[in-house]
This record gives sequence, structure tokens and C-alpha cells, in this order.
Amino acid sequence: MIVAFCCEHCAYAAADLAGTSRMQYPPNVRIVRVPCTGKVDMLYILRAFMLGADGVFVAGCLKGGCHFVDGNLKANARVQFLKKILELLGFGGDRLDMFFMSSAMTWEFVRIAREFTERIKKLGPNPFFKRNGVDGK
Amino acid sequence: MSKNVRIGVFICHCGKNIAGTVNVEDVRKYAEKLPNVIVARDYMFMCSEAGQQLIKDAIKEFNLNRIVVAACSPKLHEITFRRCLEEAGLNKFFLEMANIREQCSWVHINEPHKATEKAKALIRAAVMRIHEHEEIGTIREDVVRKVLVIGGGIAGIQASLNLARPRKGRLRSVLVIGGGIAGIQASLDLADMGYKVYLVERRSVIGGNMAKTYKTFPTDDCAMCILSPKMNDVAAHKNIELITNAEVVSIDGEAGHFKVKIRKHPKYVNPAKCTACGTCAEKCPGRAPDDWNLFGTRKAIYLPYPQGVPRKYVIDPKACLYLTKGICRVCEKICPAGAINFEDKGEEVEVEVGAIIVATGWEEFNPEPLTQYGYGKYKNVITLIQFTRMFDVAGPTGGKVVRLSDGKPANRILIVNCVGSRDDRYIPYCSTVCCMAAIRNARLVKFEQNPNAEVYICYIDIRASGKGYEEYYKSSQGMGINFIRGRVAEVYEDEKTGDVIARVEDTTTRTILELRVDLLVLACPMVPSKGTREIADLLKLETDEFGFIKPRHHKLAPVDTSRPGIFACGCATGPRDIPDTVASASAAALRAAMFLEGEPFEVYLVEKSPYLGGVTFKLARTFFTDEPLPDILTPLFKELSGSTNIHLLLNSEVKEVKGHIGNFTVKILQRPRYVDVTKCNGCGLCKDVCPVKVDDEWNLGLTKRSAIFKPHPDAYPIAYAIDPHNCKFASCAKCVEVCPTKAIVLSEEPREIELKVGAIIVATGLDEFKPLEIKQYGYGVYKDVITQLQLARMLDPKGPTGGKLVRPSTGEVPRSVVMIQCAGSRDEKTNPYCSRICCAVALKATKMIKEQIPGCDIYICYVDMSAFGFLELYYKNVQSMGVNFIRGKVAEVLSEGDRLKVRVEDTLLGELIDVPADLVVLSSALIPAEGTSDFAKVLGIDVGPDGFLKELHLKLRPVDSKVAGIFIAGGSQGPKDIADTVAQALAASSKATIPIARGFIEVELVKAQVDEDLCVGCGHCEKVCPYKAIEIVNISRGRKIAKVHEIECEGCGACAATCRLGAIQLRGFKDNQISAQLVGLLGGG
Repeated sequence: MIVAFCCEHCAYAAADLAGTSRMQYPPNVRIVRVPCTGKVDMLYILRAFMLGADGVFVAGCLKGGCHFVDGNLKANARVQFLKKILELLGFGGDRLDMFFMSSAMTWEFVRIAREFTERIKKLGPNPFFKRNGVDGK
Repeated sequence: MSKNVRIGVFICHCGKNIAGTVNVEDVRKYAEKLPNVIVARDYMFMCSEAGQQLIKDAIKEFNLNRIVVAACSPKLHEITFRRCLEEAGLNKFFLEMANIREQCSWVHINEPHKATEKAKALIRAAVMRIHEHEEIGTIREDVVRKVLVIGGGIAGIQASLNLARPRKGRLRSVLVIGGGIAGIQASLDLADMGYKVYLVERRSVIGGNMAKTYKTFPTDDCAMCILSPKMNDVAAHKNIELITNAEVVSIDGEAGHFKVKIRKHPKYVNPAKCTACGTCAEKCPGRAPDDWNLFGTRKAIYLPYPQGVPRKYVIDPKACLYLTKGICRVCEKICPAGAINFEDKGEEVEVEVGAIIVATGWEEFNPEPLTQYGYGKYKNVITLIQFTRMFDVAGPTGGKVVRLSDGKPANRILIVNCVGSRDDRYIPYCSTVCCMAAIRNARLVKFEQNPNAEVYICYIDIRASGKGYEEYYKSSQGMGINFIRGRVAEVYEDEKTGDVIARVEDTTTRTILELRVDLLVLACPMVPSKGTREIADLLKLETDEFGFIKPRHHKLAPVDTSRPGIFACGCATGPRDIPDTVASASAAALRAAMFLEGEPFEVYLVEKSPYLGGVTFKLARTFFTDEPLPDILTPLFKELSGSTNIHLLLNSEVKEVKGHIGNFTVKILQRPRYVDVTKCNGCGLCKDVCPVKVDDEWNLGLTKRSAIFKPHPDAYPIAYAIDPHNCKFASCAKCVEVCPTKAIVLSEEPREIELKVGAIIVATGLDEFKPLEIKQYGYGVYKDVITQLQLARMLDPKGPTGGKLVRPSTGEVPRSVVMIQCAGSRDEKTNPYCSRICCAVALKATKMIKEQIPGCDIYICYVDMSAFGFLELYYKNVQSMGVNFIRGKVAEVLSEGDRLKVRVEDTLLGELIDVPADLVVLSSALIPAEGTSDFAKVLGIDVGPDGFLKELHLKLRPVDSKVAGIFIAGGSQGPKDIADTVAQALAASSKATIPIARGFIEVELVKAQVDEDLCVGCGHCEKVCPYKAIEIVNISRGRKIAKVHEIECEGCGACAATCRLGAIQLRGFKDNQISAQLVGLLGGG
């Protein structure tokens, strides 16, 4: 299971347009809409992992293209920091990443959704989460 | 979990769009069992009127207080369903949408089981999240009905006059013809001012040519991404009635009261029922040429492009098999919504409006008559718009640039500029935007198609004269795009391969090239659209010889037409780019408002110097129209002096601005003039007795002036002023003795003024770059090297030499004048940008010199002659006067005896030549007025890398600054001529009018909120807020907490993500809401 925090100005719209163009990507990618990736608290990411997500990515506007000046850069700094912590904890820093795209870059969203899924498949399931038979997995 | 939560879940089939992949019944049963879900329903089209009624009825029947709609993207229909909740008496924020179409059924078409499970998870997440929702209200604040205008140049004066002028109309409705970006912008401005707008568009969708653009230069923004939100605003605006598939058939009446008949053509599809699922088009056997993409075919039932607004299909009666031959009706049978109506006859409606705006735009010139290019004959020869459509994923080739002959990728591409334009046999003017569009497309080939593609651009002059354009061009040169200066002579086709072979002379290397390419792209000019020509006829508007609508005055009334009450904007009046189109549209909106019911505003016009007119006043004459400047300015001064609504604050500077849109508090420092404006009659006795003589900055050091002075006989106000830096005051006071009206007060003190205003317009203007650092040009070394502005002063009949051109060194009449273009422009060492108007200024000066000294030899050394638009005609006119144009950058200016010589490489001859000169004129760059960047800090707005004030969005928000309620206009935003300056000033006034005309500002509180008990006042949120909307304040007993200024907060949530205590939260996206959503999404709950 992969949680994608997507900025509604770019990545969320790109995901919508991917749908309009009927592009296909794996169904385990589930999107949470945020007004700006600068809103993505580190705790949200940790919470997603705690609840069983195997991978999380944050997708914001192109560098220089943030609707709120530099929220995407703030998010990137947090993601890079958290990646290091997750690596140190033995959880795997690669389970988290940050991407940048415009609302028109549908193929970019689809490529990321596919490649990130592949990456997480290789890493295997969330090592810190005990599955208890709840559906949706 | 909150108490008494009663949730209803509504799942949409969207025809087969969702239900074809997702098992809706399974999902519905699942949803019913989720916590606190009272009822779960499904329906074919939840967004339809019947679907909405179903939700409203359920709210009543089950006493629901939270609604989850599982359907398409919230970006599409959140507004619809929020309105539905409001109509049912619920706060609209008790809605949460689960996006099970765009982000589920459509992207997992081949995995129905997994898609169904994902739909369940998305609905579960929405249900969990909505437990935590709360009511979000709005706040309302009255606005101050006053506007502050900063800068007394032509922009500031025009803005002030138009805001303060009494309105003439009684009606509150207006007609806008044409739904391109110009019509869209004009409609939104007027609708936001509170007027009723009828927007009539001939096609079934709005968007116009911009929607075809794919990406916009120079920011490479996706055109649709920035246009779509505006189109959706038009469709959703309660003051706009969008009438598509319609034409204006007659207009009666006059300014202030027109009666307009509109013919609505039949659509054969009921828009209230159509859900744009596209099933009809899939099965439709009818075909017609695709008039949107300009090549290929489309179906008879169609939506011109997928993001079109309104997103409703229509039937083309000329292509429909049933309507032409009486057979088929397939669409009627398969439409799941029952939207097809072959009985549709259309209708005619009549509306009454106070004013009309024509925004009917342009179309691409058909290059078939230019047989040498083989358009229409060779398959792989296409136009620039066809080429642009190829990049679009939703376009005819699915986003691939291909050869039309065989569909193979096109890897060798030649773009030919000026096909038909700048050509007396076809289109004599320059089309302004093709150079940039060609560069953009060349870059797109490199970026998106094939980095190794061979791309050539053939050009005559590259006209990169807008903001950021020259920088875009420069950066493209390093990308492997081949720029060839020369016209294509001949084109033929290799019949075996379908390759196109073009013969072209590269004039800079003087070689003949033979290029074999996959695609030959013809950059054809903009010509008036069919609609523009027809509307001009119907409304009896004066047009120019090309069919564009003629402005009432080229410089001062750029959006007025020959008929009062009717305005024109965008490309209906001539070729222009998107930013200028958007500015002209807002300008037209403001001018139209003058003929509608409304109240004038009180305006404070603040000017730093003692006189109005700005740098414009220093020009002797306008270019293109060749009018003496006093003819332009004096009527404005006259109106200004008669206006009781304008308060003039001269010698004044804004020192501090606080507050927000609707309520700014401004501190102004007014320095003494020492002359009472109300008493002084301008007799000038004072200046005769003044013993001081200093360089006159007005005449750029060409003359001296006294300490009490007036720069120009036509200056406004007529009163003299004292320059405190040079006056000897009490130790002299000779002027006080001679003044017959006792107007001089040497003891006058500076005073501070505090004002409250609702909006601010910044028009602080530009200045001429002092080319001292370009040592090789000898400015400041040789007396006979001057700037264009100094030349203009000399050519002014009321200037220092009485209008006589002389050599400053000897006072003789010059026999040879050399003008050096781009002195300090397009130059990495000084100013990298193009100053846009210096070419035209040089042409004007040349014309004036030739009138005065017909035998004078004039040389213009240029890089590219930037005579864009109709200036091309002016350029041709000056060329015919026998002027020598030398294409090359000047290396050096040297002295030779008492004369000068200019050393330049003529790149067309490939020779270094020395041109003898009596006078050298530097067409010096235009730079922001002194202090612009410091002043921007006072206002809290941004400046760009070029030092000019930065607009919020280069293309679509050209006069908005970063701060809501502060607008920018004229030369302070970038170099521009009087016409564009006036258009921007009017546009900024239109924007300033919007909040004030409404009388209040209202904002939804999707904003940050502080929990005072948790906040420790650490200030991290204050630091990260990009809008300065958070302030740390002292509350009781010295405790500090963060305070949010809700009107300034933009709702990005940066503060909330920074706060380690969770004390600051963004309403609608609170931590507990996201957390609950994650729980649901990942299977908990």
C-alpha cells in the first residue's frame, strides 16, 4: 500500500488528468489531497507508516512553481530529513520520497506511481507493521 | 469521535465511467456498514439535477448532517455538491468527496476487483475524515471607498481619472462578445464588480486560441492549467450568463442602453442532462473536419477539446447523419442520460445592456497563396498552430510530433517565421508573437520529443520584446536550436521519402543552405477572425485597412472604439500576446463600467516630484502617431484640475503601508514645495531674480536652471517649486520679494499624512539607463555622444534649444547622426532584457531629424529591429526616407578631429566599417525608476530579476502584485509604450474597483487558526508564513501568542506543518482530519 500526498495545484490535478486520459497505474497508490505539500507534516508521513503504509511519496509543484512561494521546497527539506531518520531506524529511507511535477505532467505522475510501486515491491512489506487481518491490503 | 454524526454516502455510476469498472452495489453495501453511516445510495449521475435532488431529499428524510459523495474529482464537482448542501441547509464544509473516477475507475480499467476495493478504501477514508469536519464560516469586512495611486506619470494620471470620473449609466448589465481569454477576463472583472454579464460565444465551448496553445512562453506554463480555473470561474459565476453556440444578430440603441438580439443555435443535446461521458462520440459515425485542431477529423457529436467549458457535447448539424440524411440516431439510443434532443430548434433572446465589449480575437492567416512554401500541396508542410496542437496529449496526434505523410516521428524540423507577415503583398504588419511561439515550439521539440532532433528557425528579426522574452530567447540559443537569419526562397518535396527540402540564404554567413526536413512549419500571422470582421460590420465600428477594430485613440484610448459604449480588447484590435490581451481585457471592463450604474471613487494621487507627467513628458513626440506630447498630456491635466474626487499630493512619498485589501493604512510624507500652488500664477518673475544656476535634470544636463523652477512651460501644476538642495533660503529670499501674489513661503515644513484606502495602484514608472559604464561608447567622454532622451529634449520645440538639433560641442547643425541601439539592453553586463520600445523611439527621432535637416545622413546600428505589431508599418515608412540601417553591434566610438567615428561590423556585409558622425545617439536601456526595489519593500511586494515590479502571474495576472489589493501598472512593471501603459493603468483600476464596488470583502475561513491554550508564541509560524499573515502578539501578563490575519492568510498550511505543538491548524485540513482520513485509507476504522 502506498500513500501519495499530492498538492491540489499540481500532482493531484496531474493524477486527475491521467484518469481523463485513461492512463493506467497500480491500484495500491492512494492519494491524499493537500492544499500545498508545505502542509505535509512529518507526523502525517509517520502516521501513514504506523497505519501500515509500505511506502509514502509526496508530490508537489515544480521547483519555482509553488503556488505558495516555496511550500514544495519546505516539504522537500522535511522529506529528505525524514528519509535519513527512517534509514537510521532500519525502516528504510527509500520507502519515502519527494517528487515534483506540473499539473500537465500526467505521464510523470503515472511513471512515478509505477516505478515507486516497483521499488516498494522490492523492499517488501512495511517491516514495523503487524497485519491483523483488516481488509484493504 | 464526534457526537450525533449522521452520514449519508452517495455513490455515482457516472454512466459506465465508474460502474463499468467498480462494482457499485458492492461498494454501496460496504459503505452502509461504515460507522455512523445512516444511508448509502447510488445513482446514474449524481451531478445531474435529479442526483442532487436525491441528496437533498435524503438529508431531509434521514436528518443527515455529513455527506460523502463518491464520484468524479472534487476539482470538477466539489462546487456543485457544496452548493447542493447549502441549498439543503447544511454548511458546505460538511461535504467530503471520494474521487473514484479519475483516481480509481479510469486508471484501473483492467482490474475491476482491485478498483472496487480501492473505491471502498477511498470512501472509508472520506467517511472517517468527515467525522472530524466542522462548520467553516466566512468573515466579512467593509472596505474603504478610496484608492491610492502612487506615481504621477501617464499611468497614474489615467488610473486616477478613470476611477474618479462620474459614471454615466443606469443599467447594471453588459454584453461581452467572444469567449477567448480576453472575453473571459473582461467578463470576470465585470461580474466581480457586481454587474450582470452576458458572455456570447459562437463555439460550443469557451477558451479560444489560448486553449490551443499547449504551453505559454516564456514560463512554459501549461496553458490549460492556467486557463481552466478561469473557465470554471466563468461557468460557476452567479453574475455571468454564458451563452455558447450563439451569435449576436442585431444591436439597437446607444451607449448606456443597447438592445441586443442573440440567436442561440440548436445544440441537439440538453446541457442539463449531458454528463460528458463521451459514449455518444465513441459510436457516432458522422465525421467533419476538425476545426479545433485544424487537421484530421472529429465526430458529428463532439466536445472540441476535453477540458472545454461548458463540458457538454453538441451535434454539428452539417455532419450529423440524422440531421442531414434522416438516418442513424445512434447517440439518442445509447446516451445513458437521455440528453439527445433532435427537436431542438434553438431560440432568439433579447437582452438590454449598458455597454458592449468585443473580444472576438484572431485567426491564423492561410498561407496557401504563398505558393513557394507548398502549403496544401506537400503533406509535411504545416502551420504553426497545427504544429502546436501536435504537442498536446489530448490533441490529434496524441502528443507526438509526426510527419503527416507517414505518421513517423519528425526529427528534422524547420520553422519559417514571417510567412505572409511583414510582406506588402499579403500582411504588411508584424504579428508580434510568432518569433516567441516558434522558439517555444523549438524548445518543446528538444525537451519533450527528442533532445537530438534537428531544429531550425528561419527569421528576419527576432522580436523578443516582452517581459522575460529576450531571456527566453537567449537561453534557447544554447539548446542546439539553429537560428538562421534569412528568408526561405524555395521549397520542394522529395516524392520518394516525403521529405521537404528548403533552400534558404543564411545572410549572416552569406551561404545558401539546402535543408532536408521532416516537417516544414510556417509561422503565419494573426489576422482578424471572421467574427471580428462580422461584428465590426454589424456594430458599424471603424476598422483599419486590415480589418482590425480601430481604437478611438491609439495611445490614450486603446480599448475604446469609434462608437461610445462599445469597447474592444485582445486581438480584435491587433496582434498581441497573452499578458497584453489580459490587461486590455481588464481595461475594457473598466471602460465599460463607465457606462453602467455606479459611483466614482475618491482618489489620492501621490507624486514624488513637484510636477506630474513623469518621463513621458520628456519625450518630444509619440512614435507611430507622431503627436507632440503636450497634445497628449494637456487634456489630461485639464480634466485632473477639474476633478473634485482626486486629491493631488505632490512632493510626497509613501513611507509605510499597513493592513490588507479593503483597509490599508498609509503614511505619507509630504515635503515642502515652498510655493503655494493655489496662489502662484506661474508668472516666472521669481526665477529671473534667483541667483542659483544648476544643471537642469529635466533637460538631462543640456541646460541650466534656477533653484526656483518649472521644468517645462506646459508643466502641471503651473505653479513654480523650490529645489531645497540648491536654494539659499533666508540668506537670499529675492524671489519672495518679487512674487506679486505672495505665494512663496520659505518657512514651510514637511508634514505627515495618514490615509485609509481600500486599494493601492503602484505606477512609479521607469527611467533611462545612464550608459556611463559602457566605456566604448564614450558617453560622458565626448560631448557629442548623447542619449535618446537628451535627443528628445533637443527636438522638443519648447526644449532647451527650441527644437533645433545641434551638436552640443559646437552648436553646429549635424550632417551625420549615428544611433546605437541596445545600448545597455540585451547585454549580460548591463541589462539582459530587451527594452521593447527603443527601436520605435529611434525611428521616431529619425523621422523628426529628417523633417528638420533633410540632408542629414542617419545611420541606425541595430541587432534586431523590434518593430512589432503595427510598428512594422512605421518602420517601413522611415526606411523609405533614406535612412541607413546597419545590422551589427557597435564596437567602439572614437574621436577623429572635431568629429566622431563609429566602428561597427556590418554583419550582412561581413565587414568592419567606420561611420563618420557629428552626433552619436545611444538608444539607452529603460530601467525601473530609482528606488523601485526599496519602495517595493515598503509595500511588501516583489521585484523581478530585472528590477521591475513583479506581477503575480506573468501571463494571466499582469497587474496583480503578490499582495491582494495592491496593483501595478505601466513602466514600473516593465518597459512599454504609452498605449500599453494606459491599458495597464486601466486594468489596474479595474482590479482596484472590484473589491470597492462590492463594498465589502468576504473570505471563507479555510485559513489558519490558533489554539491560544497550546500556543507558546515561539514564532516559527510567523517566520515560515510567505504572506506575513501571522504576527506574534502580547496578550495578558506578557504572554505571547501567534495571531492570524485571516484576510491576508492564503491557506497554504505552511505554519501548521511547522508548529511542533499542533497549536496552529489549517481549517479544513486539520491534523485530526488528515489522520482520520489515513486511518480509513489504510484499512482502519
